[in-house]
Amino acid sequence: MRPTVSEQLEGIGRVLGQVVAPHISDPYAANILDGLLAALGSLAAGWAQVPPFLRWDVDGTVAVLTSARAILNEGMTVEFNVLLVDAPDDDGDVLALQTHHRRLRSLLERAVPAIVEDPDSRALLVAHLRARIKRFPLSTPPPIRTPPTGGISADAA
Amino acid sequence: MNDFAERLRRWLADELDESVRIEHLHRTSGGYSRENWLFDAVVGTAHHSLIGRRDPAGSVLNTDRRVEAAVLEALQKTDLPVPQLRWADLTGEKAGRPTLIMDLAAGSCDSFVLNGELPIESRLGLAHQIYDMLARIHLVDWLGIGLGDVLEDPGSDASLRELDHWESELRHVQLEPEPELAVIIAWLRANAPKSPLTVLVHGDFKPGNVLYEGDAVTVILDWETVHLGDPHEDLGWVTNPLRAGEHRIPEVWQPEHLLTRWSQRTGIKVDDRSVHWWSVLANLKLAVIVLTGNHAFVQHRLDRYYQSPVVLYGVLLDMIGA
Repeated sequence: MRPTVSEQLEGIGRVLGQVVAPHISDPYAANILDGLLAALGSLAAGWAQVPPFLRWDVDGTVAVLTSARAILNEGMTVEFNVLLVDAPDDDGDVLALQTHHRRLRSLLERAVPAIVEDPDSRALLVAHLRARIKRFPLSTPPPIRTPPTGGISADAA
Repeated sequence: MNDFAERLRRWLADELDESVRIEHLHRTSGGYSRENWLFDAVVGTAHHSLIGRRDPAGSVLNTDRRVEAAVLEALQKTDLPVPQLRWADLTGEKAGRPTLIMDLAAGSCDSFVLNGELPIESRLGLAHQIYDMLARIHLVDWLGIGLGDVLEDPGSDASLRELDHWESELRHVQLEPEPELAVIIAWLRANAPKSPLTVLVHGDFKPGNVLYEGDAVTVILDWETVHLGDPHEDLGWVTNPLRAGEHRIPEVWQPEHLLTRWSQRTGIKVDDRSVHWWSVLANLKLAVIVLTGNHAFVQHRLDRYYQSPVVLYGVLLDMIGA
């Protein structure tokens, strides 16, 4: 499949950056385009990692919830059991994997107040979340700018 | 833009009861939460340089122009240098969306002025000026200037009130589950400090929100997040390690210098644990602001596009010692 998805995204970014951007004199439009080009670059670099990341995150989230099973309330336990049964068996179906991932993360979010009270489960949870931050495939910097001397500033607020 | 220029022309002509021309109208690239429009209003031969702050269709921050206008008006009774509000359209009836029009104040704005090209003595002098302004904001007699009728006093539970507010904002805008932020919120809830007193809190105090000439501050900008609360809230915001590039000067202007000077100016004792708690909340707020932008982007109400703020999640986990 050529151009590949990455080649297409990179090419679009190059054309916008080299052909279109120099002719944009309006500061607001130029600033917006800069941000979009950065995001496009991140998509080109990271899109292929999204499905394996979702699979990895599903497995890690299931491990955290399994370790915390004893402290989940009854409703959450039932929900978790259903999710385990309903897990999609074809990772090629990215939309199904995405939906399953979202349902598991939703359960984890609601289970956090209980999990953080249990030292063993909490340690496993934090270890997984930290590993997840490192692996996250799509991440442009938040609305912040780099000052000449290092550190960052948030323009958003 | 032409539509907005015409709206401004009609609005100002109505206010002044004279014919008005709008010239040089352009939107600045700064200001992520509001649209900032610079323009000249020409009345006869007189040119008035003005700035219009208009609510965008979608924003990274949801705030109320009514509160901002009322606070700016009340602060005219103090000696704080604040923008001169000329007209307010709080409903959007005149400008299309709620808009405040202010005089364009003199001075330069540079988020990183404390680490810029100026000599170290000037930068340190400017740092003293800037953060003395923060102390002066906290010393404002908010009851005396009538802000008790505009803003709610959260009392000693200011921390929990702010946490509730930002958790509610998160629930409103999150596009997907955020267990990382649930961990942070659980920590914040378990460690919330009591407020020693209620002061006027700026909410987004930073060098990028002041104008200066030489080493003198001419005006304090951007009052859209102003509220009543714990003074440690602003202190946590300006000592946030993630914002060191804006607020600190290596060796000579570090959090300990800022907090000591602030305490001397205000007579209020600093609680270091409280400052840390508010710094954690500051970064939770930044994460929610990014998610608010994402929410508006997918609804086609915002032009800016962000990806997940996972970097902030790592910082937050570090800050709570997780």
